Amino acid sequence: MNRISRRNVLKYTGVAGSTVALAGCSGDDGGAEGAGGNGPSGDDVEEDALAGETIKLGVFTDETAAQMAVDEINADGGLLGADLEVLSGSSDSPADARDDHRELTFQEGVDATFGLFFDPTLRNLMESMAEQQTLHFTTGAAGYEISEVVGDDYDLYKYHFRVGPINSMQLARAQVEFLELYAADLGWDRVGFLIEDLSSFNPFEEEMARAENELDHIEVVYNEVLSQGLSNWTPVYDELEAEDADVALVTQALSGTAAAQQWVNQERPFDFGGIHVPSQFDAFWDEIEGTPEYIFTMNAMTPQTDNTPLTQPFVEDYADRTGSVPIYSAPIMYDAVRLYAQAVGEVGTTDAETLIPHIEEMTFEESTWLPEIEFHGPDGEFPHDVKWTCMEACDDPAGVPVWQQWQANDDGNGVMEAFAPPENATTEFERPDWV
Amino acid sequence: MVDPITVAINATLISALYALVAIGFTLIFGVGGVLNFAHGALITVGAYGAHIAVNLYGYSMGVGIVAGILAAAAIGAVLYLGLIQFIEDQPVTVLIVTLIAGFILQHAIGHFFQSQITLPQVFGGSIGLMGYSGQTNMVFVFASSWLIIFALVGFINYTKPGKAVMALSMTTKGASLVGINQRKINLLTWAIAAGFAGFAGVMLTTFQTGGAGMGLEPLVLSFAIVVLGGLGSIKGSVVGAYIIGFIETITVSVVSPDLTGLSALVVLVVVLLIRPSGLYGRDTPT
Repeated sequence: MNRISRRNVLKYTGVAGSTVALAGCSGDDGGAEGAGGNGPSGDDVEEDALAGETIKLGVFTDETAAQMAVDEINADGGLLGADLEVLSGSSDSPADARDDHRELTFQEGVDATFGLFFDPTLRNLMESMAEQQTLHFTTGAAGYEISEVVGDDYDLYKYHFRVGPINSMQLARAQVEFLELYAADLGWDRVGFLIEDLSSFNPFEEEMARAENELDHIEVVYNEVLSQGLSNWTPVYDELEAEDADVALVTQALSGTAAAQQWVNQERPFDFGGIHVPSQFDAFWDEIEGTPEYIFTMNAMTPQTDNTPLTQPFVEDYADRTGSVPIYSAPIMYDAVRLYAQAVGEVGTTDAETLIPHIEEMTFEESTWLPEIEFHGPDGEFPHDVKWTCMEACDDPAGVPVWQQWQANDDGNGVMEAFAPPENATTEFERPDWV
Repeated sequence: MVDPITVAINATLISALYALVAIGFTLIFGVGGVLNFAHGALITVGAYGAHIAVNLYGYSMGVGIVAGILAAAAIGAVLYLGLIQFIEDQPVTVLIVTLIAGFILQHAIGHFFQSQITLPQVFGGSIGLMGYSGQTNMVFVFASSWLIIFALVGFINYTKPGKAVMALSMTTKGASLVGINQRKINLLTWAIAAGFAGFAGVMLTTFQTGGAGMGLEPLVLSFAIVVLGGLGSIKGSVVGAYIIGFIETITVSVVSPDLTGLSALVVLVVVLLIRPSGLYGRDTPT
């Protein structure tokens, strides 16, 4: 599909017509116009405005989830008469992703790109997004600094939107909120913060220091940033034990498996969890020798939770297709593609310059993990990141992140139950007999 | 702040394993006069040997330990027979070749197997003594390492092949004159040293997480230990292991866990500057 020619056609001919009957369509009808958009919107869009065309989506991660959304839209008659098509890009390394992004946008002419899990890879793509002026919807990477990049040079980097998860600053705030609400109930008086030295986790040291100052009912007995490559956790656990810590509240990705394994092996007398990326994966149950039972982590959703009425149907469809349960970035990808489709359906074009102001104003109510998805505007705290209020303790709580704990079901298999917040809880918090 | 007694207990327990790795390293230098920089990779081989037996085929940890030792010993023997025996009179070439062989082994393991592996503890839980507790598994690591060290000393002092190993480490010519088959003894030494590394790899993976690159840190540690203790000296390796083990444990417990391995490198540089022959060793090869 020739994006440039279509953009020009739509721009100069204008489009008028009937309503787009896209499922879940609930955007701010005046959004595009009101926000300075130059395309048609809402009732002005013809039902077959893009008939005969193919809208190409470049997908770097969670291709299955993207394909699920595309199949649903195509089965429903396509998007304004156009078929959607998924083209894969590699996210094996930042360089591979950048090369593939250029190939997808420049040679293949994709209309938007989706995905990415690692912040360094995403950062490496920002220039290419700006050069190619192509929308990108992030569905896994959480580093909040990307929103600063967007805000600092909006005209250049406005093509980036983070559909999910909530960013690292918000995750850190959620952890403080969690401590505020649950530490006493869980019997945590003495808390140790173990933060991996990873750029995605930059806000945590500061936010946990804030927790130390603001939360009177906990005493922080350990607050260290630790190497990604730390292989021997015995000295750390010895110190936590010497300090009589009730919980090791971790922020870990690369070092998480080793830390969890050694907590299980050594049967340390404190709870273990926090933001523990490896335990957000279904395969984690088999990765840990013994079992990772009782390890807890924040998550956007789990295969067991009912964040929204669409969560479980998505999990089931995903499992039917792949034979496994999805990790959090899969439903976010599923949402991202449908959100993009809603936006295109509402403005009648895939032109990024037209879509951006509209997406900034729109509301997506068909999410699988959040009650609704809206984005921070250019002057918001986190430009183009998904809006998040709080987990539980505010007027309009998001109900996420959920606090997941690995538990064994009746068959002895591992399941990712959630014990907080109450609206998404599926179980009570449990702890091993050695704690 | 961690209790000093707890630090001392941890240092005592882990140093036995360091000694075992270092003895394997020094044994090859003592007998063959060469440095085996594939020793770290043999630790990895041992860990993955046990991983295959225990995690992939469902055998017990007892079988896993044996599998780890045999896998490493076999690879050690193959290294000697396939490469080293042809260049054993060229120490620098051996150093380079073993370094490359180690890299190849690690990369091959990383390519064909999963990047992170874990093994069950041999014994779970902890045991207490006078108000202090230690991981039962670490006590087993300590006891079994010392058992193997004593067995090696017994082997060298009281068996014919062991005495041949000792003779060869003293004088090559003399050993030849009394009819010792140098190649055979070298092969035996490589297999034993590799077996020690394999055992260490299995044990390490029972209390840490294993991976293709897991041998590098113990290699650096054992190199520092044998230089401190004196290249070629078993006694020096044991003493060096305890000195390095205590310094290392105190550093990571009191200063920062991120400094793992750094103290050994500092000791290595200091020893090379002040006393290159180490505490009990002969001069480094020229």
